Amino acid sequence: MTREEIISKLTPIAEASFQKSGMVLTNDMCAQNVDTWTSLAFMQFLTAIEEQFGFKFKMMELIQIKTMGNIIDAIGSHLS
Amino acid sequence: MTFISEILQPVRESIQRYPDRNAFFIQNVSYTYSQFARRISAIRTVIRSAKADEPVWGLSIQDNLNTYASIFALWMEGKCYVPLHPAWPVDRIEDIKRQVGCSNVLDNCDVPYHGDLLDDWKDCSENDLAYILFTSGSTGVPKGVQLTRSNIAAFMDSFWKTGIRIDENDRCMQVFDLTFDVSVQSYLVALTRGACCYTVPYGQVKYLHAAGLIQEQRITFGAMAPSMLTYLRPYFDELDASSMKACILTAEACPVDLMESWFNCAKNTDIYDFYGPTEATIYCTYYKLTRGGNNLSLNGIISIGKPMANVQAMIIDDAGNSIPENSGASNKGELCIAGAQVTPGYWNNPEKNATSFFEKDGTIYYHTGDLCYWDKSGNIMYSGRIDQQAKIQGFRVELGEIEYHARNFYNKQKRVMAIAFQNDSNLTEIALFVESAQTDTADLIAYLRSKMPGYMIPTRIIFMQEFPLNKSEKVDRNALKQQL
Repeated sequence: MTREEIISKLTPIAEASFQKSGMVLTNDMCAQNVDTWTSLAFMQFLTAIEEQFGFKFKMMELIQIKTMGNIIDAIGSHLS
Repeated sequence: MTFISEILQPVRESIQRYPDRNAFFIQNVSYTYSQFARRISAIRTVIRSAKADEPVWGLSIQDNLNTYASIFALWMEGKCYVPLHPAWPVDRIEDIKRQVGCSNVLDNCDVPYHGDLLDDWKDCSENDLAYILFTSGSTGVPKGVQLTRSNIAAFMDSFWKTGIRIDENDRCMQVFDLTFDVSVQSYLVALTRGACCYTVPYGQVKYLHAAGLIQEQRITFGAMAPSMLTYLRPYFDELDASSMKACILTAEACPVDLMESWFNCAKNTDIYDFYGPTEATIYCTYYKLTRGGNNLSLNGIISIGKPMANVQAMIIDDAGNSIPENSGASNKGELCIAGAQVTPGYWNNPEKNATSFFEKDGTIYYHTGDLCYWDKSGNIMYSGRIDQQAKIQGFRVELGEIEYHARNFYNKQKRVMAIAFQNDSNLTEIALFVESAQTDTADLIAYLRSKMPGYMIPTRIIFMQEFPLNKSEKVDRNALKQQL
């Protein structure tokens, strides 16, 4: 799956989790610049990603994830 | 037992005994006690040179050394701080500043160091204020809880009498916003014992950052909200928390099954459930859980235990009579707290003070609003709220404040109801019901965000043509809640 395909599949998940319509995912999106990026929303986001893409995140990789770019990279590495 | 003997002197001793040991670990940078002391001294010069000699100072809270040093600089100068969160709406910050009448705000006070100013503490009364914390107010206006220097001294004395031991070798975690009083416990426990305080930055997913600190920095002690552990629970089998020797769960009801899982993960940890409203200085009762034991619980929630050393607890019935201790589950009532930790009252709010405090046999008690009973063992069992208050990630939220702002958004033309509910993961969320045809919610959310902190924003908005009514012809909150 290409990065563009991941973003395309991830966008509606992000919109639902962060309760924002019309999101354009960028690498630098994070809790500091997305006001609805709360612990609860992030947990829902992770759960939805795991269901949609069919894998489980490891805690140690989640600890390193700070931005949307990190998440896209992590999904890519799970699918490769 | 004074503010100096319990806080200022022990912190100065930490600085003198352990100048080269780490006082803080903030955003992957360590700062020694010597560096901490220099920042305190530098900031004291700023406070002394302020044009307006006001007793209350605003403190823009940030995750950096200057913010923590500012607290001690203010205390050594005999001042009181009011934490102001940069992420709060401007209206809220300005309202708080106006309420307390402060024009001075310390904001990452990175001024040059001109020499040691650690001694020569300004003479103060123990009744002078140390900090004012603003909590959600049901009338739409945040209310300021005043805590005196003697309140905090009494708290620290109570804390150490619980038997928790911290020394200079400990690594203590500080996960809470400085607008929230558990942060005060978190940094004071570390700094008064020469330990290192590891902070969780703002603008992060806290539970993941905390997990990283626990595992990578080998944290030995920390206070957390149970919801943080709920988020981490799916990863307990991957988390190495063996370094933790004591862990406090606080700020929310503490589920017994979660604690059993946490015991399995944190294999060397003593677990404590601490309870307390801000008005009684951080914590006022506690229960030490037994590993593998039969821990006291009610409806799956751990007991809040017994009063701390400087606290008197009383449970009163509807007529205001004290319910005898050990009288069991059939005698529920409101938990009321007295003693040296109880606030002298809300800032400039005589109406609220008149309803929140009362005198009985010469002692002033605070109405907690928590429905409790005395277990036969003498422990206190928590059974829910009497009023419309919820806890979101440990933060107190008056549902009335959300309703107030939502009603204003609709120019008082629509009825609204805020309801707290437990989601599938057993985490508390807030839903806002609006008596109206379905409309777009973006403007409403944006308006609420301009008035309240993020944790107060409802996660669900539900439109109904007509609200259900109960037999008293009032909106039936229970019926609304059942729809969630």
